[in-house]
Amino acid sequence: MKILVCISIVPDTTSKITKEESDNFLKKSDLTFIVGPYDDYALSRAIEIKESTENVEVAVLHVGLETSEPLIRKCLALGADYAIRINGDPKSSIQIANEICNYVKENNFDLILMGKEAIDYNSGMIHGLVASGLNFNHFSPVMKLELKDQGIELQIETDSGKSTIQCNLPAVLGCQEPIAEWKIPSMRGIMTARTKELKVYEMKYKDSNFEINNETVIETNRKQILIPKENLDLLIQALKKDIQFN
Amino acid sequence: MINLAIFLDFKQNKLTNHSKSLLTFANSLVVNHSGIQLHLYTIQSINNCNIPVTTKVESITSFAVNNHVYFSTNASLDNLVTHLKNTNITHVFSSKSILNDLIGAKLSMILHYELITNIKSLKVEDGYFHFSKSIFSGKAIAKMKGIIKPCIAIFPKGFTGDIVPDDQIETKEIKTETITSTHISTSIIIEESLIQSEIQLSEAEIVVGAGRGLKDPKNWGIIENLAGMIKAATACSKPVSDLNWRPHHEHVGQTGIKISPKLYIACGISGAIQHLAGVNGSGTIVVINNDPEAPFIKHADYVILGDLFTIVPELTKLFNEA
Repeated sequence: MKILVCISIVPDTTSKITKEESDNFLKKSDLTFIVGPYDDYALSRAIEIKESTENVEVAVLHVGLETSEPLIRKCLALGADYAIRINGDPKSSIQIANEICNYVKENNFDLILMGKEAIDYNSGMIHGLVASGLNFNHFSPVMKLELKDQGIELQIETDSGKSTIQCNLPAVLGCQEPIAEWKIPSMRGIMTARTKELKVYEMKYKDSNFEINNETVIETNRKQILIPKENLDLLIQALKKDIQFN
Repeated sequence: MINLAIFLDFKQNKLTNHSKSLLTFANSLVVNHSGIQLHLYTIQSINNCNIPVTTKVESITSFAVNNHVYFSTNASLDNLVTHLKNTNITHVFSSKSILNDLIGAKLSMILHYELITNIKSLKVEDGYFHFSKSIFSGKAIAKMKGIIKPCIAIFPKGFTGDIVPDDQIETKEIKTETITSTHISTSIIIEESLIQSEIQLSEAEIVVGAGRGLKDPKNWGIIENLAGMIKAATACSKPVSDLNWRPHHEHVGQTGIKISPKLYIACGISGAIQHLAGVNGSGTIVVINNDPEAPFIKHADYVILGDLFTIVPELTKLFNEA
């Protein structure tokens, strides 16, 4: 069985996002980058499955620039067998999805996992686009994943609750917690990752019609008013004024 | 000519607030620009649809599904796609939800339409769409521009704030045309569990969140009482859901649900940046914490320092009297 885990490389949640006043775009050079937290869940589950099942191969794919390679190596250190980087600077979800579809069409996979969304542009669309482009089954957000008979059993979140689903392969899944626990690479994993294969291909698909022409940081200035605990009435009055609370 | 389709969501046969605001916005586009025609779609089987009398609408279509299993395949959308093509739909607007995201992504791929999400504002000017979208989990905004080519656009909940109360809108009832999905899914639903709480977290106008400061899952009664009193949904921080003190669907934060209620009351939550990423879209934030150094305090409108076990019941009492 072949599993492909697609990863995003995104600014660390704790990074402070800044912008030079003269500049139109956010300053990316100061940011620390990480593997998308949701993608990390997907990868962790793929590796759990590989460790507990015979004949499972896990590949990691990223569409992005060479600067992402140390983080791709980290995924190999966690236990993925090999990695693919599709070289380029993608501008839209559709562009990334087309690159993934193209790779999968040439290199069959049974199961494609990724996070339910990337935390940079938060679209949460790539798994749906990939599933549609490949005409595979698609579910998201997936909270539990087990191999069962020839297919998979999933627990998914829906707009009204949760459902347990039985589904055939091939499938594309957008993952979220608690599908697995995040993993930390072992020393041995880090050593072996150095020699694992990382294939690089060039991006083929063109850009989106929509272009970002300006980015700004949102500064929410909260009032930070201290309400004495002996006088909670003040809070009720303030809220009534602020939000027509009734 | 833009043939604009709005996907409307209904809850208990009533148009949701998110759909109402999206419809109001779409109607303003129709009124202010020539060459835009409005078509309404519902992914539910309904016979009649009540919409504001001022809405200029060409058609209403309801897409009835028997065995769609959450639109997990392209084929489940076949008849809808055919209908959209026959109606020459060039643009689709929908409100963000799990279902609308699943459908939106597939329609974009099948129809080869562009896809835009997280829209905060949108203008039509000189043959271009100008819009801004929220990025980096609400920490920044990107302004974008593109030629008005066919696209699927997904608007976050609470896209436009103003919702006219039902009793102030004169509505007209329009009969819907129904199309049916004939696709039989190979996926099977084994079990379904619905969220019991009356107020859904992602839709709630008021949310009461609680964290490890509650010390024990047995102590959640005071939080539930406060939430019940002010018709709020309950939420929790990640550590609390990791400890299984509260269900995962209540987890608000970077890797949980992102909320944007009018009022968020955070009790015993320190305010780690991951939690803030899930709540920074809230209107007013109240923080109750006994730690004056808690990071949340800098991100709050109102702060009450002290023991939440006395403050929360006291507040519940005051809200009751108010």
